[in-house]
Amino acid sequence: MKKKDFFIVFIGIFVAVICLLFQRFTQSGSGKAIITVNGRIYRECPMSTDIEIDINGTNIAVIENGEIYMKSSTCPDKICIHQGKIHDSSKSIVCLPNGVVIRVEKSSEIDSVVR
Amino acid sequence: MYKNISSAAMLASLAIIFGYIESLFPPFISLPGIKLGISNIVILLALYRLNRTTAIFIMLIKVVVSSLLFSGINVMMYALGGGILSVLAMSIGQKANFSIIGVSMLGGIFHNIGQLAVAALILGSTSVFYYMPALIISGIILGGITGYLCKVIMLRIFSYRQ
Repeated sequence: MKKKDFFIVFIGIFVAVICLLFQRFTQSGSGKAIITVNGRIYRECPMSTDIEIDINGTNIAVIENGEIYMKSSTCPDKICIHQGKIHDSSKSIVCLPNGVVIRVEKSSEIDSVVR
Repeated sequence: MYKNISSAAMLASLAIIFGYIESLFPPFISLPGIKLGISNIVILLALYRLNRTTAIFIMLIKVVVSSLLFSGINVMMYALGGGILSVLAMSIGQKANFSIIGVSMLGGIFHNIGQLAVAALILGSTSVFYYMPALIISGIILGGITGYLCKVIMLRIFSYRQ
C-alpha cells in the first residue's frame, strides 16, 4: 500500500462520518405530529419547525428542536405535562380529561429493501 | 487488439464464474448489498494487464450475462450502475497512480455508491442514502481485501511489482 492510498481511506471514513452526522441532525426534525381531540384529527404539524399550538383552548403543545411536549393544560392532574418530550412513534402524549392525544409519525420510514 | 480478444473472453468468463460462486455462499453480514466482490479481481487484472476499454467491456459482459443467467433483469440495473461507476473510478484511480489496493478500494466504494444511486432513481426517494456510511466503510474494507488478493495473484502469475 502506498501513502496515497490512505487518502482514500481517510476521505471515505470522513464522508461516512459526515453522512452519519447529517442523518443525526436531520432525523430529529423529520416526521409530523398528529394531534387528535376526542378521536378526531385536530391538527397535523411538521416536527421541523418550532411552533406553539393551542388545542381547543384547553391545552398548549410546543414543538421545539424536533420534539413535542405539552406546555400547559386545564386538566386537574397534569399527567400530560409530566409525560415529557417525545420525538418518535414509540411514545405518545395523552391528556384524558380533555381527550387530547398527540403522537408522532415519521415521514421517511423505509418503504422497500432491495437485495 | 486480436491478441486481447481471447484474454478478454477468458477473463469475462472467469468474472462470471467468480460472481456465481460468490452468490452460492450465504451473506456473512445481514445487510443487503455488502459482499466481497471477488469478480472485481478480474476487472482489476484486466485494467492492469490489458487496457481500460477492455476492462469496461469485460465488466459489461459479466453484468449482462450473469444477471441474465442467475439473478434477473431487476438486479441488472443495480449491477450495471455499480459496475460502470466502479470501473470508471478504478481507471481514474489507476491513472492518478494509486496502488492496486487503493484502486480496488475506490472500485468498492463507487460500486456501492452506483448501486445506491440506481436504487434512488428506481424507488424515486433519497431515503436510501441513509445507508451510505455502512456501504462506504464496507467498500473500503472489502475493496482493500480484493485489492490485496489481486496483488498477490499478479505477483504469482506475472511477477508484478509496484
